[in-house]
Amino acid sequence: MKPEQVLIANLVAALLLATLAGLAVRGRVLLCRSFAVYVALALTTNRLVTWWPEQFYTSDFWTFKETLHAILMALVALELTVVGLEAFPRARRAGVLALMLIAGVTTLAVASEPAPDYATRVGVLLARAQTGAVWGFVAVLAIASWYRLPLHPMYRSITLGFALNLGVYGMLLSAVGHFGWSAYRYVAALDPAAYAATVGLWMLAAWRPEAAGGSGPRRAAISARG
Amino acid sequence: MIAGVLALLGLCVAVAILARRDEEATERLWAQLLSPMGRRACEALGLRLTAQERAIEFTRQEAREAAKAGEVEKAARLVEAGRLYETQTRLERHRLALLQRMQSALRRRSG
Repeated sequence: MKPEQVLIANLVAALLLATLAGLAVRGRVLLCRSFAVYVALALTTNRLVTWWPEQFYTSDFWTFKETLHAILMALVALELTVVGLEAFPRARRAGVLALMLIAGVTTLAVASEPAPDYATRVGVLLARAQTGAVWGFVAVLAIASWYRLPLHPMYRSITLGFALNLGVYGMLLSAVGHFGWSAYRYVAALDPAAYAATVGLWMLAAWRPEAAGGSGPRRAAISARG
Repeated sequence: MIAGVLALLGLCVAVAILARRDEEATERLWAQLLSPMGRRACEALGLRLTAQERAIEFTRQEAREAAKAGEVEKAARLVEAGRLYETQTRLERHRLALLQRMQSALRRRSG
């Protein structure tokens, strides 16, 4: 690993650790458990690659890590829908249906392309998976907006963070698929910055003090339904 | 490359949705909707708009009959009255549609 890569990795690790601490201190782990697991896993894989690059700074480990991250991101979107919209059954059902549809289309798009080499896996398959994940988060936001549902500030930050990171990352990976490995230097330069910005946003959200009367309508909706 | 463009488009849509959201107004609207007074106000708005829709339909029917009878001026006046009524109630109809959509989010089954 180059020194600047280690530097960025250390910065991201510090931000991830601060995010985890913020979630724990402010009691926000239970708001979205899969998000806390995602942050912990991102921190773990970050440290593995930085501390033991000989074993973990490899294409196989990278593919494994990205697959795990993609699964966890899908779980985060599902949890935001199922738990975040629990007081609104119809909206929640619409959200789950939309996520299932997006997951189905994404799986088809990924499965329809053979992946003979590493470049195809990175530039085509992963880019499609990232795009599916972005639209999963967009679907959650769109349903919350259609039914004018209140969203916890932490949920807003999680969706914005994933949309920001996956949008930029998906675009960059797609450029690698289209232009070949010559475009990889843009991924290497831009993606860590986008990811650090994303984790910075999550950290701020995790530590933000609870606003007075936050999530009131959700509580009111639950009590109104009895 | 299409996947990349779609990813970027998704990011833009997400940012646009989040930028348009007004959480305080949403919370106020829900508090209003879930209070007994708010529910009654919503029902009253629904009844008023139903009555107004009937009035608009009545002006349309009258305008058609006037046109059939060759009373062009009367028909035009009725059409204009209906149109004016419709314009005046547009905001209220939008508000009622939004409140009904919000209420429907709480339902367990569709319909």
